Amino acid sequence: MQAQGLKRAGLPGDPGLWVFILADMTAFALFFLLFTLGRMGDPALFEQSRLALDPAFGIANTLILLTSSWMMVQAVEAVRTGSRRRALLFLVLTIGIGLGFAVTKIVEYAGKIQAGITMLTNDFFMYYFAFTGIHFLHFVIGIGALLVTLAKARSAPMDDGMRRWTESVGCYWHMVDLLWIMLFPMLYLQRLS
Amino acid sequence: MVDDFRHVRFCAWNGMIFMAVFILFWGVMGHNIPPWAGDLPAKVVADWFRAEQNIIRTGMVISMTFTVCYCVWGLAIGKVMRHVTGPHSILLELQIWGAGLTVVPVLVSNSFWLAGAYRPEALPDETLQMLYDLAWLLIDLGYSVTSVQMIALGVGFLQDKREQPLMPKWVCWYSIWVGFMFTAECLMPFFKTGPFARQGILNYWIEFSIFFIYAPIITWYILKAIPRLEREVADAGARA
Amino acid sequence: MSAAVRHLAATGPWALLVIATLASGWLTHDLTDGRWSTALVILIASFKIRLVVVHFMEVTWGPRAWRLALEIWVLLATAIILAGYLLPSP
Repeated sequence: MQAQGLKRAGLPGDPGLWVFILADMTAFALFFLLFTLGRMGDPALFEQSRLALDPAFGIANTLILLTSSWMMVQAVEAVRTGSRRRALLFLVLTIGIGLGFAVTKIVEYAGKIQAGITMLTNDFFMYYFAFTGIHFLHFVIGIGALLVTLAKARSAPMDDGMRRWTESVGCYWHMVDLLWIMLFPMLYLQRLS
Repeated sequence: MVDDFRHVRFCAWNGMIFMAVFILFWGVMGHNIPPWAGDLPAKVVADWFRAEQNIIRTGMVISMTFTVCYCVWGLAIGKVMRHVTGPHSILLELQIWGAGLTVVPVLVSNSFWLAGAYRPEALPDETLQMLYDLAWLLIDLGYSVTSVQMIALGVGFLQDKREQPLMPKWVCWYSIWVGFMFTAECLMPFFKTGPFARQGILNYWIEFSIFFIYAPIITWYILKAIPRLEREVADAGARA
Repeated sequence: MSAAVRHLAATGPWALLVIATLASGWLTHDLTDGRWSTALVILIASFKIRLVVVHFMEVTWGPRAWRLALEIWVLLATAIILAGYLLPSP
């Protein structure tokens, strides 16, 4: 049985994956910069456009991803202790709760498009759709990776390889979570004073 | 595994030949660093075709001739990758096909720039603008064939069980990441200004830079891998 | 540490994250001064990201270089947005 609570020598998951994670986070930092510069260029337009967004969606999405991440932490721990049933349970919860994000996102996008707002409407909405869209793509890939993990958890041995895989997917999923944590206030909550 | 590494080093160097030719002949002579902005009037692009036709012709002719080097490079990568994934992995074919198919958007788009420079004096401004737009739409949106190559390369080399992998793990992940990052090019046709346009900070400067860094890094490790594999094959042969 | 205690170890940060999220939502009401509440919301986001990095991603246990890289990222991301928000427009 894997020893719990002991400090491991390195980062959880595959070390190379952290290059991917850091590269992706750097890309999003650039997105933050682009949005910030755009906002500084026309704060009135950005404020007017921002008011068309409903923060309730943003808050719901944040809570969904946070809770899904929390479930993932439990799933990783279950794999570490070799508990297959617990791992399956928490993976299902991670995915199930996580899918709520897709529902709210689709509802939100649909609402905007029906109201005639698209990424071509103005610069604010260009950034809004592009960056939440690219984030959503990351989310979809994450769900895919989680489904693969679920399949593996059903039959694969709970060995070192499985642990590393699950930790890696977990780290990627937490990245999806933390990127949204910043995207949300940046897009939805910056009030013009 | 028995293997033959003759000419593989030369094929690996084709990656750098492609890059060098592409930068000078397509990039500089073809006015593609950066390209003409999407929101410019047709006259600007048309006048450029007319004023620089011989430079453009020369640039594109050489660029088109050497485009195939990218495929040759992919085959060299495949030769090394065989010794990581084994000869039966489909990842081998995905990488090779990805590299080979990358030749298509590059070659064909170059022919549109060339066509614009062939008899620009006889064509209206809008037609010349369209040829230029056509070229850029193809070269940008043909990205997914290259993504297939990059992702297959990364996933394949990640399977390396050697103490010191032939391709370091971070390079494999970088390759996968670039392959995915290219998807942002899907935004390009919707914008003529801003970061997502063909000349924009994201869809031109970032996307092309991460690609141009990628090729020398891969080439470096492929060249280092060849002598290692020659020794491995020789040792295995001696033991047999 | 038993599995149950580790389970609790992630629950604490999660609860804190939820509270911080709801607080951010409340801060955006018209009752509060726009400028400072927005700045606070951004800082809260920064704090939340650090919670995820440390407690969910468990980066405390990794090589210092990675911990540093992630901390710098959080700092930079926060600085970019905050500076852009607080600086007067050109």
